[in-house]
Amino acid sequence: MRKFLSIGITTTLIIILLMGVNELPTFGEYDNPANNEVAHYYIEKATEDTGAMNIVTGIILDYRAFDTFVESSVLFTASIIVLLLLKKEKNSQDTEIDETIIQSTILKEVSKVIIPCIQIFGAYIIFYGHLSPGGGFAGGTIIGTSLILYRIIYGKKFTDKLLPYSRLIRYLCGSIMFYGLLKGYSFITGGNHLALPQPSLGTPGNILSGGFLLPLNILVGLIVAITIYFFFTLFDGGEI
Amino acid sequence: MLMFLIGASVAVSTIKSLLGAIIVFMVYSLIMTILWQQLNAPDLAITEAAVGAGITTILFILTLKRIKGVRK
Amino acid sequence: MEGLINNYYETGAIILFGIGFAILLLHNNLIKKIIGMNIMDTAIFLFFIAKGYIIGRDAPIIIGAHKGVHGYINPLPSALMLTGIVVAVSTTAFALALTVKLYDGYGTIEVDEIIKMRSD
Repeated sequence: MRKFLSIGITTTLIIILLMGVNELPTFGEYDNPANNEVAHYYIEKATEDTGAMNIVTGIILDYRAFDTFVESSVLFTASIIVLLLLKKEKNSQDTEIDETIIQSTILKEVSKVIIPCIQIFGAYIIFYGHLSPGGGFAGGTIIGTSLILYRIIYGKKFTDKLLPYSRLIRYLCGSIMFYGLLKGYSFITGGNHLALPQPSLGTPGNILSGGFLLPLNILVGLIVAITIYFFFTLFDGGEI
Repeated sequence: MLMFLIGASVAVSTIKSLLGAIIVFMVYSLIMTILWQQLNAPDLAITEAAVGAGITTILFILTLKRIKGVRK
Repeated sequence: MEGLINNYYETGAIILFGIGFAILLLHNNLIKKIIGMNIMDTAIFLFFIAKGYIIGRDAPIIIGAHKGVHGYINPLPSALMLTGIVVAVSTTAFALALTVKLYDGYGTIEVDEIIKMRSD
């Protein structure tokens, strides 16, 4: 009975939505109502205003930077929630649940070569975020997975000396507050046309161009990497 | 490409073992990445490849280990 | 009917949304419900990106000379959906953490048995 009702409701919803899709403008025409002068303004003026060659990065980190700020805070909230739900205190009753330490030498030797390569690739995607596709999110995820690989191979005790919990939490909270400060400074001085010192735009095509784009990219990457690392360690048995 | 996506999502519904459903979901996410590249959005393709086919699958498999049940 | 066949990307996105919604409603297992929710999310992203595509133009990255306004696709839907992907993974992580705590509390993850246990 419940199955027929659910399939019936779904089919009704799909038919109503498909009748709406019938009326949409044709796919891929250039005079669609969605391609109005807002998109034309963004394409024309992106390099002069922000100094970014990648128009999408210029939009999400300069024209609409508050969207990125609130979305970083959504990631921060998710990591805090998982921390609240799944963290175990350091009781004495948990000492018999050992993690399986991998004793093979092949993994340790290969990981000494591969993990720095993964981190350099992730840092490349973050630093060139305004010149080629990528940005803070993808690069941050790649660095986070390299930390996860480190933790899988070397076990819990060894990794906790290197990346302790207190230091990671301090970096996470500091990153998001620093993002808010930087963007607030740029917003206030730009909006009121004050002549306070600002990072220069530079020539498009260099890494150090674009004013505030590079620091904001690095901060977003740091937030994403620490969140991904927290997700893994909390799901695998609570961390210290 | 779209037919493969629709077929994969129907297969997620009918496969009974949870591990098989998670693997098919990872393939679905990967085909979605190729589709983003066909529609000329490279930023989204890189982000979806790293996040969808990487992090979501790892989280599902870790949950499966915690609930101690790979139903045959 | 030919409107549906011309915009095949949008039609496919709506059908995927419907299949994800049906998976969310039909199954008893909590993990399949979360997979269904994720399928719904990515179907909506496909719908939006298909609205921003223009035939014959390039991706919005300036290489060399600037091609002018009529050389690039619409960059705006792509920038908006980048945020959406991150929100989708956050929601999935939150739902999976709740599933782990439910298993610790009740011992099962079938929704029927949890409702039966609570109504006793």
